[in-house]
Amino acid sequence: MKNVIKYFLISFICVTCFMLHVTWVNAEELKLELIPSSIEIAAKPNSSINLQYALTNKGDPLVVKIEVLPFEIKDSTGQVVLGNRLEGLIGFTIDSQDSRSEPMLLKTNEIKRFTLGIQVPEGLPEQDYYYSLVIVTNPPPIPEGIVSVRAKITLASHLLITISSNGQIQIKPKITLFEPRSQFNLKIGNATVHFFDSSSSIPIVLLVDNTGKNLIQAEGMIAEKGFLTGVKKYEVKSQTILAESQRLLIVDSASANKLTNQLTNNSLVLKGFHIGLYDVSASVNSGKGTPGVYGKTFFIALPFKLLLVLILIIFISVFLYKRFKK
Amino acid sequence: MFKHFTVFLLLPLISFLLSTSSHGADLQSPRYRMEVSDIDINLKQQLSFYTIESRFGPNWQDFYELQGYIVKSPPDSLKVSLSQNLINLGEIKPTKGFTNATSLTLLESPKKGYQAYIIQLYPLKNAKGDIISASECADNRQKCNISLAKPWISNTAYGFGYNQSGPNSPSDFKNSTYFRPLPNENRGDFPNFLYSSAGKNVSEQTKIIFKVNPPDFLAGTFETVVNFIVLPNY
Repeated sequence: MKNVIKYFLISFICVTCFMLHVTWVNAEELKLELIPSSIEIAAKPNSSINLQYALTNKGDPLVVKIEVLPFEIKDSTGQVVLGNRLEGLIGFTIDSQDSRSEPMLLKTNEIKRFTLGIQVPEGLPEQDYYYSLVIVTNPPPIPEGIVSVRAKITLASHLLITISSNGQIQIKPKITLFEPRSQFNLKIGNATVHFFDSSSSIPIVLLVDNTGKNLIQAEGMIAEKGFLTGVKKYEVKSQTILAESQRLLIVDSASANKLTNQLTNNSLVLKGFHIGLYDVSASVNSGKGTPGVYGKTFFIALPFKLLLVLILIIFISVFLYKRFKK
Repeated sequence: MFKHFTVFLLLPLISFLLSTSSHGADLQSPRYRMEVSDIDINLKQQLSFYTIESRFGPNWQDFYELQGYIVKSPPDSLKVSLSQNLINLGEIKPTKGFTNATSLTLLESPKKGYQAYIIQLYPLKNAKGDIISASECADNRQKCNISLAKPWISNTAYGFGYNQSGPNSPSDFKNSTYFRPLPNENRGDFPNFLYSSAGKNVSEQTKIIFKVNPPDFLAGTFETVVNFIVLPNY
């Protein structure tokens, strides 16, 4: 009996110490879905618009907050930066309340449907305005006694708003830069001659400015014409260029997936063997019936590496021949 | 002979000098075709106004006049998951690095693709205000920064940082020993780019490993908040 009591007390003390020492820490899995992912609007001044959204929580229960924030373009690769607070004349409401909702609990598999109200005032300057509907999750509580990283997710759906009283929009694209990125080039007067080795890949950059007050959907074609290759065409699929901004238009997905924070991306990389003079041209438009802009460049590909190897072989051969002849 | 040669040389030369070059405008080629209804040579200002039909499609102008607005919303969604929102880096053990990870997965991408970013709201700190500062890595004197990962192996290199692995990760994360410090929102840093996609409808995951190596005079509860930002491409 004494042993039983002794073992009971020891177990009780151990469990109590354990329970008092440990702070239960439960990491949760976050899984969210937001529909739609972006919305494009054209509206007259003095109009009121209601948009429907659905936010689904497929993970553990969590607390979220919904708000509207402006966004700005960070660079020409399409990266944006969310603003810190809502400013401007366009009014937003979430379920007829403020533009920032109160934190709300979303249980697992719960779908939160809500209405975003947009009030465009009379006399608003006719141009584009860019916002994001932002969903922010609350980080978990601080666990005691350890070092921890508390993670949260910010999920956004863009709102691209064009204000026009009569439905007219500006489409003003301009090709700012269209040239190969070469390490070796020669300036002759106003022209720059780009040189590549025949076996090298040829990176091409196509930068388009939108100098108008409204966004444009730029699309087009890049054509490569060479001595051996004939004409090869590469489609530039539709990409949005926001008002008064610049965009690097991407042709192939391999370049697109290598996006970084620096402008090291290329619009297109021409692969394969090249020799001689190549003309490369670009044509960009914003849809049927809109103006096109054109650019042209060229490069010269020569087998420099092969020539260098041949020269070396000849030199070594002559050297060895003379040496053995002696 | 010389006379004949001189005549044959001079005649084309005179002809060349006296002729006027004229070239008709080639408005058609295998690559270009220009269709112009009217050409006003004196037009000083380029016309650049079009209607919303060029962006939203034909027949929308009447609807716009009637309703006062048009909405275009692609039928796609943005679906993300984070494997764990609380990353436990253990109790403080001086000069002993501890790591733990979370994974950000994009389960469904909008057609135009998306971008993912990461930023720390404030430095790793306790309630008293002691801070575990951002790591400089500093192995072999190679310092890392928020844009460039370097190896962080030494136990005497204190700090807090992250490693990233997965498809499309920045190329400076060469292996799991390469770390960067996190950008800090309180300091005014921009979020760090994690990865992006051009819209392939494939589940893409990136793993973020957090590492802390605290100095030996610290103890207690340290925490920070890290924000994973996922934005659709516009």
